[in-house]
Amino acid sequence: MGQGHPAADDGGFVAWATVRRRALRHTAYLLCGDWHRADDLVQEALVRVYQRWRRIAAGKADAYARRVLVTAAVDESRRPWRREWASEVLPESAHLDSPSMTGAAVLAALRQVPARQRAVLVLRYWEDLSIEQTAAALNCSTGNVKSQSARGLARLRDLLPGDELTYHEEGVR
Amino acid sequence: MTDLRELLGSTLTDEPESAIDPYAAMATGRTRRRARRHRWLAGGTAAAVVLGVGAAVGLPRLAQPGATTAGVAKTPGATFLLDWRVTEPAVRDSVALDAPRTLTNLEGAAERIQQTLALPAVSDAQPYRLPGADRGVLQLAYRTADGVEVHVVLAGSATMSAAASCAKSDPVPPPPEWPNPGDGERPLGSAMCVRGPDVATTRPGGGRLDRTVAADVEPLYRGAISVTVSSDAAVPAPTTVAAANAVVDSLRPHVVFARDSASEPDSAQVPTYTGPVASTTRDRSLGMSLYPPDVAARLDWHEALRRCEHESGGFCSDSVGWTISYGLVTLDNPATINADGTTTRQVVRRPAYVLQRWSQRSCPGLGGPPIHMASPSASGYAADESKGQCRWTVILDAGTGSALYAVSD
Repeated sequence: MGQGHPAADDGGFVAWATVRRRALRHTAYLLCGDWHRADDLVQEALVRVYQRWRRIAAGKADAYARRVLVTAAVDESRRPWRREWASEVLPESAHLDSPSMTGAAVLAALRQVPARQRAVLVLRYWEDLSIEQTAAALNCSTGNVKSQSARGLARLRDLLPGDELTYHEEGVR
Repeated sequence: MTDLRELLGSTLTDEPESAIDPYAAMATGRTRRRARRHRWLAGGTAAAVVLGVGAAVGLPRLAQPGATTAGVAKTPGATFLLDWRVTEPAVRDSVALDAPRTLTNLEGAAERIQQTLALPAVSDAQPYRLPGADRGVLQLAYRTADGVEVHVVLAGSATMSAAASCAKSDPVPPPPEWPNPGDGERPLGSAMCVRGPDVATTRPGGGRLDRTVAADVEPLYRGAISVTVSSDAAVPAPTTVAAANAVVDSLRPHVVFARDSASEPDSAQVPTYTGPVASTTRDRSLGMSLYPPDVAARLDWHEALRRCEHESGGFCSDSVGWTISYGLVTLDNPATINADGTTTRQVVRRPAYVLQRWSQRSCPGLGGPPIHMASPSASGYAADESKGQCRWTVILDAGTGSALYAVSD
């Protein structure tokens, strides 16, 4: 099959990717807010994982894929053209006048959280990663994760008024 | 009290069908490995390689994909050129062809085109990679015995969005004479981009990618297909039109154009070319004239052509060449001012035909916002001033056949 890649490795990769792609896609969507871009991010993550499949330690593929995902999402968000919003329908409001606790409102709020803070929020409160795991995924210190998390939550609270956000402080994984 | 995790989960309710494909990821992974092995790809520089048939007909190796189209056009005796293709049968067979989202899908589509057009098979494949992100692009380019040049670009799944082409074009308010759009009408944006593989060459300010390298390889919106059929004045228009129809017809059964565009009534119903349309613009920022939306939206394209010709003083009789492109047109909406003072630009992408015609006569700029044209032919022809002094462009909605814009400079 692949050049220099044993077929068994490919089979293992396909099995892993098939199981994990949906969860990765959800995380990617929360990071970027666009399903198509989420597909691209996940596809990129899968490619990177595949390239290193033989070298990734057993059980570490998830963490590696997550790290690729977050890095790619944050990098993309820094590029100027990513500030644009592709849409099929016009006109449409770019800002919700009365944010409510709907998925759309949450997503709109999440988009306004800086990319790195958003990544921390998603990893910690969606992926349920611990501070240490989040720091590893983002290649930063635990202190940085804490501060980014606090700022991100504060920003989210500002953007989603009228209700009180609760969250699990410590990751379960 | 609202749990944050529940909140986050509530955003996932409208999850569409996934286009993620482990096999495509494997193919891309292999592609990248191969890419690293080739010296000409060192440094992350993209390169298109003339392979197989290209070599067989004696075409020189082209180091830059941007030169590919021009190479085809300028090389005497070249029948066609298939300059890049991935051959992964296991991958190709694993994905249906009706969702041209991934490289795999597009590869299958390219295969069908190749078969339909009876192009010889190419046994080898070479990838190229652009710095920053992978952009799978498949290209088929050939010249018919009638002198019609066909260039098909199939853009694979990549980290591009339709918005990219408009990234650096500053929004300009519509002219005051434009009527305000009424309910249900779409306001026309002030800037306009036609997505194409050489978009980076026309991005104001140069863009992120090297101009030469980026030419021809920056793809359309993911999974998009761009077809350019061009000819010079010596080729009768119906011949060129027939060639365009052949390509579009070969694609139609196998792909769904702009499937993810929910606003399209039936984007698979692509109208047939029936005649030439005069148009002109240049791929650099120039003044242009847009018809008011209430007029443009109701014009059929024959009427648009007639109107273009009339308003240009009949310059079409001076035309020296013309092209038809199929691709996604990105229409910019002027920036929306958010409550926090930031601006958000919105874009609409629509499958459309872009018809251009060059004229010997120089047309004065008519004022207005810039147009950024990027069609597959642009890199090959736009720099060729002998093609004409100016171009006219008419952009037709591929779903309805109506004219979206008539543009001149």
